[in-house]
Amino acid sequence: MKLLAFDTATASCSAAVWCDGVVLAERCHAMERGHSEALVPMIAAVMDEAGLAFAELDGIAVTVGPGAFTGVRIGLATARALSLAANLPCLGVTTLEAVAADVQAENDVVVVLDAKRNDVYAQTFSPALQPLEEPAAILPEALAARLAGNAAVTLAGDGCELVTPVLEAAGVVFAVAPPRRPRAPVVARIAASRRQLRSPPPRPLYLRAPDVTLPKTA
Amino acid sequence: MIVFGIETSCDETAAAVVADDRRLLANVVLSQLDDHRPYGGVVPEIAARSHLEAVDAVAAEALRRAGVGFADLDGIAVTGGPGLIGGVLVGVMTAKAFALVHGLPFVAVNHLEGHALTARLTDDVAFPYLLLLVSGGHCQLLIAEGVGRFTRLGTTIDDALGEAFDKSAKILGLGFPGGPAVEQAALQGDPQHFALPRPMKGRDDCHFSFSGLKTAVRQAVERLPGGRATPQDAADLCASFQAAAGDVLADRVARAAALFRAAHPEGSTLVVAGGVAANRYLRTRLDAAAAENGLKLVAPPIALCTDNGAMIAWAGLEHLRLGRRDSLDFRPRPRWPLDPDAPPVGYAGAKA
Repeated sequence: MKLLAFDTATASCSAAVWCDGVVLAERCHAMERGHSEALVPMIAAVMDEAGLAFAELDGIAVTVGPGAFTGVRIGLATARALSLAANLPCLGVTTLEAVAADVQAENDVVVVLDAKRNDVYAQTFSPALQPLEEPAAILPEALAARLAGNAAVTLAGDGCELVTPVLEAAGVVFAVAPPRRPRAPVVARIAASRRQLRSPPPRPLYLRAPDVTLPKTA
Repeated sequence: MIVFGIETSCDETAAAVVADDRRLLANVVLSQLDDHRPYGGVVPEIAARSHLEAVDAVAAEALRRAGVGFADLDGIAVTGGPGLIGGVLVGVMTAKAFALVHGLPFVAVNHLEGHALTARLTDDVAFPYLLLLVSGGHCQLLIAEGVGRFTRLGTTIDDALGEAFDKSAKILGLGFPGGPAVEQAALQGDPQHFALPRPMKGRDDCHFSFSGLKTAVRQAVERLPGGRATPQDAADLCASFQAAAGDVLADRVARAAALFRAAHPEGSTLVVAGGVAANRYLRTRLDAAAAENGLKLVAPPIALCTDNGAMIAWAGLEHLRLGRRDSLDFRPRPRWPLDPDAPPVGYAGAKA
């Protein structure tokens, strides 16, 4: 199975062409902004390097969040449009599961991503990568309370340093492991493992309502 | 040449297909009004989310209605700005992806130029022409000299006219969007019942100001018994507001017409474009103002005055047939003046 996969939901932009476990081409650049300029040329570059036309792919895989709202939309709008234009299935993978699937650990994995607010995006997975809870936007103190008294866990993701002081203070036993962000080949591998023909287009996972309040009625 | 156009810069998710013989093959517009109405205005994050949910389906529907496939297209055009950047990004990424898969030229269109060139799609208007661009975000008088070539004669120093419509409607409790609500209420009103100001009228330039007109509406309401407008008060205020706006537009157009004719003696057309151009009362006033100044008014059909994909497809087509295209690393432009040489006017943040 040949997939084009990419991620723009976090502070990097990455794209890969993947075929049955083999990475045919991969690009990854750390960037806080500029994903909208970088992504499509990067996709063109990996397709070119892999020597594939869109018609030769079996699908498109993309991260759906949680992450920066704008980054989530850049990835999803591109993926859904490629899917329509090339008549390919499009599959969504969360940023949290993409990081979890890239961790080498024997105990539970807690993925923590920087949400650029007081809280972080977090989700716990079993060593077999089964999610043990729903993804959530959660304050470090609440995460510490949830993990306190549990067996040792492995932390991963670019939000780790935002929570480690609070976890230490709460007596949580943990180790920190790579990666910090999703990698496109892992996004492809997850999508390949669950591919269903003609699933509906993937939708964003924001974990947060728009920041707006209803006006007071007169 | 057949060009596909996408528009997502405000609260309409739109896609269209046009041909270079000025045929409109499809024009699909999905309004998000219901998403924004509870907030009394367009909420950028809600707009961006709604565009992402809808834009691929809207694009597919435009192709279906046009009876064409990607292989029949000669280019992909998209609003590249100005506008709400979250929505613009959704459209731009969609257009880039279409262009990449099918190896099509990609062109980023200035939303304002989409409005500005619509009269060439609908009425085959030749350059140069005098252009009044009136919408919720802009109020400008320009000379359209060619594709991508505009000279700004005047702009608002504070609020856009469409903004004044929306704010006045809010003051009068008429709901959102304000333009159609004010126009409807004004039909039952007396335009002379309230004496409202005519800001900038008679001034020796082509600029506008509508902030004070909106304030005058609020003050008129405050002077009413109980500080509340009855339905008849609201109708009278709407009619008086439109009359004031019409007087100002007519006066400013007369100034601009003199400058236009001095620069281009052969010019004969006034084009009005943008969402406020959908207002029937103002179209009538502008028709008369154009005639008084020796110009013929061209106002596109109302459905092509408000935001749509056809205007973007057409403006893209005009650029593409002159050989212009953009790279797939194009960066959306939240601010993008039609006349980059025009000096800033008025307050910081004025809708120049």
